[in-house]
Amino acid sequence: MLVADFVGEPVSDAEIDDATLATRAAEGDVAAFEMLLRRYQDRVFGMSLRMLADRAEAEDVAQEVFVTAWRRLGELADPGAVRTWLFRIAHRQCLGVIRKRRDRRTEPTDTLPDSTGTAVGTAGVDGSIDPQRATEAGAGVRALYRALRQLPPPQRAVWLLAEVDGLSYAEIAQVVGATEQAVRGRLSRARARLAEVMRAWR
Amino acid sequence: MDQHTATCAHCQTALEGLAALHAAARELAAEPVRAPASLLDRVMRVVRTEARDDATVSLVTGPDAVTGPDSGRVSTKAVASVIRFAIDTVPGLRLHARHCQVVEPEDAVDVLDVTVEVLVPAEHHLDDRGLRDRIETVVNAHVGLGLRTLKLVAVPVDVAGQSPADADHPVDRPSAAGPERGDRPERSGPA
Repeated sequence: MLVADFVGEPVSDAEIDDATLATRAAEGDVAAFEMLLRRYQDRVFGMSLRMLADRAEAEDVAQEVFVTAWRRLGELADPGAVRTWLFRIAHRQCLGVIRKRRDRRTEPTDTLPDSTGTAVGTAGVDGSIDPQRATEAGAGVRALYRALRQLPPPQRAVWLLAEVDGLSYAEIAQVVGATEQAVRGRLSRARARLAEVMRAWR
Repeated sequence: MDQHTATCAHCQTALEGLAALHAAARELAAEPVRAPASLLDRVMRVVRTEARDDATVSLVTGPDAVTGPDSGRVSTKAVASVIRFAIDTVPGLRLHARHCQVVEPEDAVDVLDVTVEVLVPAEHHLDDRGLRDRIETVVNAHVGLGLRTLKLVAVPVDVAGQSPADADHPVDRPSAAGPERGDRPERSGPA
């Protein structure tokens, strides 16, 4: 066999499953880890951005999530569960950031309008603020973001994981470290509260 | 909608809120959010730096061996990556390597002991001999070492790419059927 054959067919990361990538990355395979990072960076960053409504803080959280994942992938018992595991790390980091904000401001963040972030709904593809998109972003979405900021963070997280990321109750329970029963309760309280705010907005 | 809901002002108000929430939630979920390009760079810089501090094997042994930090050593993880790549890129097959252990035997030089798990799609017949030759050739060409032992562990996978080992944890994998589907939260919306 010629060494040239080694090139063979290009490896498409789309067809390599999470469990395989996570196992390889846990064994120190940098390329496999990069595939995982490319696969999940938008979702981890997106969840952090919607939780925190602050791009800089969301990027810091996402970086911390993946660096932590790189260092601790070996501890993940089920490599196939890497997706929920990443969400779990992100969830914990986001709640930590919110807690620190509270300590700094001495007032509950949730009752304050967001003072540092740009509206999430106005972000361009490259992370910059696109003025055209800013005007196009639906007023309903902006009202929803404001309503989300008023929710207690654990309710906000559960609502986002269910509605935006499409996780199952069981997956959300793993991510937030609660029972499925508790997740159902939080989700229904979040929906009731959001519907109330959205009705008033309309 | 029943008679009561259709005529009750309270119910109508509640439905309006749910409808507004539903519409805004759909729009929010459809919004593309991309991680900034700097995220990948920042993370991979840390990862590559840390990956360099790995266990290594000697590329040159015996009296000619050079000492010092660049004495021709290669990380066992780098060798594992070469082996995985050789398996992933077999022309015409969709094989994937999973676990790969590379050990430098203490009682032999210029050879390695390798154990590697290969995911084999159910419809494929694994050409064991051909794959062994390919791996040995690649390791020899790219690392300059021979293989003393090469243990191939074939793991059959179904067409969906799910190996039997993963089937124990269906909850974390998107599945087309089963109880999980019914257990997914209904997205909010008017009843």
